[in-house]
Amino acid sequence: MTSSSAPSRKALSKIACNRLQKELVEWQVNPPAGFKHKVSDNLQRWVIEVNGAPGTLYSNETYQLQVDFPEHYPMEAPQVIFVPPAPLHPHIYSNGHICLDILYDSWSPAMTVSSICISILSMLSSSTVKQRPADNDRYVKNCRNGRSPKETRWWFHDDKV
Amino acid sequence: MPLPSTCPMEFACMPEHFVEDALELLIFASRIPKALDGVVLDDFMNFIIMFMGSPNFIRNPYLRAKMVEVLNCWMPRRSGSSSATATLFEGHQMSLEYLVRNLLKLYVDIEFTGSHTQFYDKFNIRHNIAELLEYLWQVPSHRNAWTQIAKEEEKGVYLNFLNFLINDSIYLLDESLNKILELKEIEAEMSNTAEWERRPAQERQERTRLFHSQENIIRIDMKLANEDVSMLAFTSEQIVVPFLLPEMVERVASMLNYFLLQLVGPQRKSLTLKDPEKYEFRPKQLLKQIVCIYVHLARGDKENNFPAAISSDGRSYNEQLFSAAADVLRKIGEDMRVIQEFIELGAKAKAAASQAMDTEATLGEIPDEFLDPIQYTLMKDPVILPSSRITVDRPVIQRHLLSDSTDPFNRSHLTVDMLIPDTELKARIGEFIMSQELKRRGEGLNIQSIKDTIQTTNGEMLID
Repeated sequence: MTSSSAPSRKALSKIACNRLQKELVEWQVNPPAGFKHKVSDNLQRWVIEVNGAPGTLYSNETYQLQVDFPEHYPMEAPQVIFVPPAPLHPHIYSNGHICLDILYDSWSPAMTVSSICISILSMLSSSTVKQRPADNDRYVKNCRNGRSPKETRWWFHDDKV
Repeated sequence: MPLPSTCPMEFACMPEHFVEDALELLIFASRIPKALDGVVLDDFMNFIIMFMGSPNFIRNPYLRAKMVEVLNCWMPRRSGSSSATATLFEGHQMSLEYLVRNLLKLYVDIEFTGSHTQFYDKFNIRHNIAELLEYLWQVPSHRNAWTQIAKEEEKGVYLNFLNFLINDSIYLLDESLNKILELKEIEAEMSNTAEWERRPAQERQERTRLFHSQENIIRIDMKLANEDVSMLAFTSEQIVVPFLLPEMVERVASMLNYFLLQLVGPQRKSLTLKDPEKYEFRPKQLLKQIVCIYVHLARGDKENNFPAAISSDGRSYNEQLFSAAADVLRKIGEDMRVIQEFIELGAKAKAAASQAMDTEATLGEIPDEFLDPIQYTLMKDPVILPSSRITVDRPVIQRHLLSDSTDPFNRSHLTVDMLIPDTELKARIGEFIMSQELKRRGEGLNIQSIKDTIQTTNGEMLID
C-alpha cells in the first residue's frame, strides 16, 4: 500500500454502517457551516472540504479533510487528517496529521463527524500565527512508512489554540 | 486480601529495586538446574501472590509482570518430571485462594502500563500469564477457584479479562493472517527467478530482509493467537455466562464469524502455505477450537440470544459458512456430535436472521426518541446517564464502560451501577413495538380477507 494513511482493511461493522448512514443523512439536512461533504459511494472514507472562517487567518482558503472510519466506529475514533497541502498551523503537521485530543485519547462515541469538523474549524480560527509545529520535520520523517496518526503518542500540552 | 487496603508509608518509601533485584536473582537461580533444590520458596511465593495484584503497593506494572516471570520458571512442565515446585502451586493455601484471581487482575491491569510501548509489551506479559493460566486450568482445585471468580466477578474483572482476551485474539489472528498474504506476495516475486535476478541487488536484499522479518512476526503472532483462542475454547466449556452478556455476545459472535470466514470462506485458499507448521499455523486445529467455542456457547445459551447475535453481524456472517465448516470438520474427523450441534446452531442463526428481517420490516420508521444516540438502533433496555441525563441503550453503554469509565457525553465518572433504568421509556418502546405488530398483522388480515372474498365470489360464479 502506498497511500500515506492505509485505512483499516476491515470492513465496517453493521452498527458502524448504520450509524454512518444516519450521520450522512443528518449532515445533508444540517451540514456544519463552512464544510462540504464530497459525494462518493464510499461510506468508510469521507472527504470533506473545509473553508477557513471569515475574519481569521485562514479566510478564503480551502482545505480537504480525509476521514477514515474503523470497523467499530463509533466505539473507536475515526482517523482524521488533512490531505496535503495542509493548513499552516502550530498543531497541524505538513503530512496532514492533526494534534487534537478528541481524535485520539479523548474520543468519545457521543461525538460525530460534524462535531469533529466544528472542533477543527475552531482550532483553525483561534490560531494567531501561521506556522508548523516545532517538531514538524522530525515527526513527518518518522511517519514516512505510512504510519497512521492514531499510532502516535500525542502530547496535548497547549490548550490555547 | 491479607494486605491492608492502604499502603503504609514505610513500605512505600522502599526503593523499587529491592524487589526487582530479588526477582532477578530468583529468575537467574531458577534457570540453573538444581540450584534451588532444598530452598524453601514458600515465602517468596506468598510475597509474589500478594503483591502481583496490588497496584497500590507496587505501582510499576512491569515489576509485577516480572513476578509472573518467576512463577513461569517454577511452573511444573508437562514433561512429567515430578517437580518440587508443583506443591508451591498445588498444595499452597494462599496460592489456591489468590493465584488465579491475581493473575486475571494483572492480565487486565497490563493493558495500560503508561509506557509508549504498552501496546506491544502487553502481549509478552500476557503470554507469560496465559502459560500459567493454562497450567492452572488443569489443576482441579485451581479450576474450581477460577469458575468461582468467574461467577463472582461476572460483571467485574472477569468480564474485563474476557474483553481483552477477545481483543487480543482478534488483533493477533488478523495480523498474522494478513501477514501471510504479504509473505506469499514476496514469495511469488522470488520464485519468478528471471524477473527477480533482474532487480537491483540492494532491492533484492531489502525484500529478503522484509521476508524474514515478516516470517518472524507471523510466527510470534500466530503462537500468541493460538494460545488465546485455545484459552477461549477451554474456558468456554465451563464458563459461559460472561460470553453471553448483552454487552459481550455480539462481539463474541462477530469475532467467531470473522475467524470462520477466514478459515472456510471463499478466500481460504489464499492462506495455503508450503510449510504452515513452520509458522505454527494450524488451520484445522484453529477451526476445531472455534467451532468448539460456538458449540460451548450454544449449550449454555439459556435465553437463546446467541443465534440472533451470530446472524445480526452484518459482515462475516453468511449461512453457507456453517455448512462449509461442517464439511471440513467431517473431513478432518471431528466428533459427529459436535458437528451436529454446530449445524443446529447454524440453522437457529438462519431462523433468527429471517425473524430479524421480519421485525425490521414490521417496525418501519422508528421515532428518534426510541433510538440509541450512539448506535442509532432501537433501544431494548434504555437507561439514563446520571450526570448528562441522556438516555442510551444499556448494552451500548456497558460496552463503552468496559474500556472507559466515563460518560461519553460529558466525560464525568460513570460506572455500571450508576445507570438509571428508564422504565417509562422502556414501556413506551414496548407499546410502540406492540402497536406496529398489530398494525402489520391487521394489514395481513385485511389482505387475507380480501383474498377470501375474491375466492368466495369466484366460487359463487362457479356455482352459477
